[in-house]
Formats: sequence, structure tokens, C-alpha cells
Amino acid sequence: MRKYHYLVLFVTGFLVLWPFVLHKLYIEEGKSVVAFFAGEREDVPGESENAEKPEETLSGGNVALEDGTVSGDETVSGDEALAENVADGPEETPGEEETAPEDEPELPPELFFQDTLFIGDSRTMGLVEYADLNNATVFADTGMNIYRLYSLKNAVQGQEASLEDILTKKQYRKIYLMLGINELGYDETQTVKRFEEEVLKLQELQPDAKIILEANLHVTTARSRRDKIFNNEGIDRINENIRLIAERYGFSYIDINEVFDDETGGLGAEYTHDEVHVLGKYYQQWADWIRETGE
Amino acid sequence: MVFSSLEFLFLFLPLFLLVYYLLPLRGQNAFLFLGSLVFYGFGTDWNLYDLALIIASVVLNFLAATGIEYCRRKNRMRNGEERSESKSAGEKIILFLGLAYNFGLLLFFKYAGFFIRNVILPVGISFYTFQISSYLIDVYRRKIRAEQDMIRLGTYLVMFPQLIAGPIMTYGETQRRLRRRKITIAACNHGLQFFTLGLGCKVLLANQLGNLWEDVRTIGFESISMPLAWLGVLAYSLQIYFDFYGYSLMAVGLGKLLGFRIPDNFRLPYTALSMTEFWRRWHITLGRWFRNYVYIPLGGNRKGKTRQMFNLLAVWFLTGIWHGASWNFILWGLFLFIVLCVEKAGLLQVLEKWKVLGHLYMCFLIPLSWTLFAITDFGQLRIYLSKLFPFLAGGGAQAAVFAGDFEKYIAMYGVGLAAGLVCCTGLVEKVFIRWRKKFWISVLLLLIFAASVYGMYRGLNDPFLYNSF
Repeated sequence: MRKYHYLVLFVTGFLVLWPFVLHKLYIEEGKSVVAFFAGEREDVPGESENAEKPEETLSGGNVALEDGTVSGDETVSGDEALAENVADGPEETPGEEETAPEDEPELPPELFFQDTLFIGDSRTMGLVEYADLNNATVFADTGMNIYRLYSLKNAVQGQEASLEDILTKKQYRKIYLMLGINELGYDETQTVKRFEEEVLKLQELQPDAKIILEANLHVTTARSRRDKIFNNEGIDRINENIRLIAERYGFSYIDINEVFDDETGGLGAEYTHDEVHVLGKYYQQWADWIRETGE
Repeated sequence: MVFSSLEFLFLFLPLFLLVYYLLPLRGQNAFLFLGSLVFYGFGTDWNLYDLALIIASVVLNFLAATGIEYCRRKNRMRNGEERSESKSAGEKIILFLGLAYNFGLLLFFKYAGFFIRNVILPVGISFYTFQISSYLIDVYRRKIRAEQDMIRLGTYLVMFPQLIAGPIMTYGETQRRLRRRKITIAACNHGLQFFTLGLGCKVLLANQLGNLWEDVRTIGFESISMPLAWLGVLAYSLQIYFDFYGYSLMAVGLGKLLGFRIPDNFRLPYTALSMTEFWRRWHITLGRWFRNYVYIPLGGNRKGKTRQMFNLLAVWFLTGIWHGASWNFILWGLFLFIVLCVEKAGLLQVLEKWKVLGHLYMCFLIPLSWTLFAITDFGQLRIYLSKLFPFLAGGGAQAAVFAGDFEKYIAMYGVGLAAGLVCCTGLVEKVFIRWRKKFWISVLLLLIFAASVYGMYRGLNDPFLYNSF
């Protein structure tokens, strides 16, 4: 007597999965891309849960904020180190938002990223891996987003794992922040609000640091047309919101897209393979451009 | 519509099978023919032009084969012979016209891209052109009779398990089951097992490993280290194998579900000791096609060494251009030709005698040959080769390389690579064949199926979705 377990198991399994898959294919259609991306990092399959999630992580962030301010006292030593390192530039006074960093472009290139912190996603990963940022500190990972700054770990090798440690153990002269593209699947108002809070928190933890908000790199126009969510319209919207935040609080704002955009206003096809990231060899150009902005 | 998509697996296939099993044989063929056209339609976004081309291919070759038989019969009657080996002029002309049409279209669509932009290759044309031509040639050679029933011929050509990417079946091995087939529960059970293994290969192995190769391309070849270059091409080698092997296994499995026997396309190619052996184990039905319709008609090895070399060169040149309209495929074909010649000249005996040496040799040659295959741009290829063999490359423009790249990608893909390496040794197949009837194998297969569906569900089968920024 031969047995056909698999046929039976398969058909059973198939029938169990069937309603889920059909639901996926036809009910969630349209939202599915959000679910894929959100689901990639955290289990937020539907939109309904998305609204709750930011709040949840927000409170988590607040805890970190308190911790941060408690240990903030220790950063005095960091201040001293900073004073030694920076070549007689005028110190930005804490709390004073408008700073005129005229002297900074005069720093020799190898000192430009001295006591500097970069925070970002895979694009910043690319920068640290393929450009020379001297000894800058970097906190980044693929998929990093503003909601999970304090819960995701740093993927950069040889650096502190958590942003909290990075921010509390040392006082930085400059902080570059480039985030926003991974958040496109989330509610926009929430994201902007969260972004603002996080930037202000950075300022609070690092009162002496000059904060530079970076626009998110465009994707190619071809990619942009294919994608309902991660397209250049979305990127331009978030960039504009970031620019407004910078304007409101007197932070610097720099936009890399002037370097890599083609005539259609998307990432130039010759700079990229995956239509989202620049090739390794262009990150140095990116870093040099940051130096040239003087910010 | 690919097999590893939720639409195929959960909509097309169950609906199709439900109706198919209820129909009598004659209806089954017609339904399989129409259902496959629907499958093809979905796959081509209802590009009616492609659909018309494949139908035209069936009709014209049906008529050509019938014409060849008609000429033969007339010729016999005129000569009063019962059996004649000589072919009449009519037969030759019709064969020539039929093949000219088949290969003319293939050449046009494949290579027009060299000259005109925006010529899109109709899906599956490389495969179905070869398949229908084998039918026509076999009728001309009197190996088979011309089919009297156009639906039956159409079913042979377009049946969806093998429509998009083979295996390339011959009419001779298929026609019996087109006329009479029995679908047994045992065959369905077996078919589902094959299908599941294939799906696992595709979704769980090929797609994941493909991501590593994509990552390497995203970084750009200028900026990768030598270890990462080798890792990347290893990942590509495993990806292309599990992709194609998985697809072929799924085709065999689907064939069983439909009552057909679709030939094996792969026999553990990565365990081969030489390139010669590799190509007897890799894409077997394509190798068979070239042997039967190019190599042997040219004289094979029966006309002396020089002629044999020429015949081999012809086969490998054609194999190269069959794979794509780009110079690198020609280079790849010529590379294989040279390797095979060297092996024929005596290396083969050495490799087969010292098995360890043979495996080491293939560990080096397989990734190298896929490098030539994978990178279509010569400038990029040169850069990649200079990364694989930095000691051979003289200076050149060097971009910054991230020193920790190898460790980073090993950490990300190490498990997948290890799984891939284990699975290409044939261990899985051995376990499967040995304990196929055991209950735990069925449970294991169900887990593979569930994991694959989960992978598809999460969008892992979509090359654009793995990528968060």
C-alpha cells in the first residue's frame, strides 16, 4: 500500500493558506508595498497599526531622552577635548541657533569632519564605507528611520552600537542627519512631527553641535515612476518639510540632489545600478561636495 | 506569470487543475492549449502581438510538416517506391522555408536590438523556436509522423509548464502522452514533491543569493575588494543554478500533475569533474538539441579532428548567441569551446583520474565562466576580472574599496551561501530519493512550501522589494 502523505498535506496546507493569499492579493492591493517595507523591519502589516507604532516608539524615545540628559553632565570632558581639537574657530554657543560658520571652510579637508557625527540610512552607510570621512562618527543602517533611531543598532563597523551611547559619551562639533526615505510609507504628518522632535532632541543632547539636515537623495526617474510610495514626489515632499524644519530652527540644510540629478530631476542613471543608491565610486564626490558646501 | 508568484500558485494553477481534471482527454488537450495561452497572455501583459506570434508558429509549422509529408507521399507515388531514403525537392524547400521562418523571427527579435532600440524579445521565443523546429526537422527526417491535429501540436508547443523556459521537449517523447495519458494519484503526489523542491530552490535560495549579486552591482565593480568579487560571482553561480534548476524542477512537477513526462534539465552540474561533464549535466535539453540538430548533422566527430573542432566551435558559438544578443555571450561561448578543446586534448583523463583536482578545477572554472556570462558590458567585465585577479591587472583607475565589505556580506548572506553550497552537492536529492515515502519527508516538504509562500507573501520574490534604503 503506497501512501500519499504529501498530496494530502499539500492540499490541506494549500487550503489553509489560500484565504490569506487571496486577501493579500486582492484586499491589500495598493497598500501592499507599505506592508512589505514596514514588515521588513518591524511587524507592521497594515496601515491601521502604522498610526500606533510611531507613538509606541516615541515613548521609547523619550525614555532614551531622559537617560541622555541624565548622563549629559559627563560631556564636559568632551567639551574640553573639542576645544583642543578645533582650530581656533568660534565656538557656537549652546542655545544660540543662528550660527555663521564662516571660519569652517578654512579647515583643512582632513579636519573638516573632525568631531562630526553622521546619522542616516543606507545612503549614509555608503558614505562611510566608500568615502573618506576621516574620523567622523557614523550611526547608520540600511532601513534606519526616524521612528527607530534609538531602537535600531548601528551597522557601522567599529562604532558604538546605540545612538544613545554615541550621543552621551561625546560632544560633537557637527551632526549631519539624512533620513526620511524609509519613512515614506508612514503617515506624513506623523513623520514630520517626529522628525522635528528628534532633531530638537539631538540639539538638546548636543547643545554645542551644529546640526546640518541633509536632503534625501532622489531615486531615478524610471524607478520613481514604477513606485507608488518611494518616488521622487514623496522624497521632494519630505525634503521640503526637512528644509522647513531647518529654517524654523536655524539649522543648516544641504541638498545633494544638485550633484547627482539628471535633467528629469531624478538620480542620474549613470551614477547608479539599483536606481536608489549611487555607485561606490561616487560617494567620495558626495563627501567632497559636503566639504565644499562648508556646512 | 512566473511559477514562483502567488497569482500562479493560488489562482491560475488551482482553477486550471480543477477544470482540467474534470475534462475528458480531447477536452484536456484543448483546455491545456487555451489555458497555456492565457498563462502566456498574463506573462506578457496581454501583448497580443506575442500571442499572435506563438499561434502563428504553431499553425505554420503544422502546415509545413503536413506539406513535407504530402510531398513525400506524392514523390513515392510518382516513383512507385515503397520506402525511399532520398528526400524530394518539395520536402527540402518546405523544411527550408519553415526553418527560415522560425529562425528568421528568432534572429530578428534577438539581434535587432544590436541595431534598433526598443525591440522587445517575445517571452519564451528562444525556447519555443527550438522546440517547434525540432518537430519540423524530425518530421523531415521521418523520425515522427506529422501531427494531424493542430490542437495536439499546439498543446505540445505551448503547454505552460515548459512554455517560458523549457525544458526543450521533442515531439517524439511527448506525442504518446498527448494521445493517451493516465493521471494517477501517485503521479500527482510525486509531481507536487518536485514542484515544492523547485519552488524552494527558486524562492528560498536563488532569490536570496541573487540579492548578494545585486548588492555587488549596486556598489559598483570598481569599489569591491577581491574577496567580495569572488563572493559575488559565487553567489551569482549559485543563483543562476537554483533559479534555472528550480524552474525546471517545477516544470517537471507540473508536467506530472498534468499527466506528462517533462525531461530532466539538470543532473547535479556542480558536481562535475570537468567542463565536458558539466555541459552534459547543465541544461541537458539544450545540449541535446544542439547535438542532434547541429553537431551531428555537421558530421560530429566522424569526419576527422579538424572537422570536429569546427563543429564544436559552431555549436559553442551558437550556444553563446542563443543566450543573448550581446558580445559577452559570444566570448562566453568561445571560452567554453577553448576549455572543452583543452579537455579533449588530454586534460580530461587527468581530471577524471584525480577527482579532487577535478573538483578544484571546476570550483575555479564555474564562477569564472559565469562571470563572462553575467556581465554584458566589456568595460565592466574587464573591471570585474581585474578584481578577481588583481595580480594580473596593471594599475588602472582604482576607486575606494570598503575594507570590511567581505565580512559584511558574509554576515548578511553566509547562511544562504552555505545552504546553496550544500544543496548543489546533491545531498538533498539523495535524502529525498532515499526517504521519499516517509512521512517526515512530506512534513519537511510542506515546511519548504510554507516558507516559500511566506517568502513570496513578503515580497522576497520581487527583486525590487528586498531593498530598503
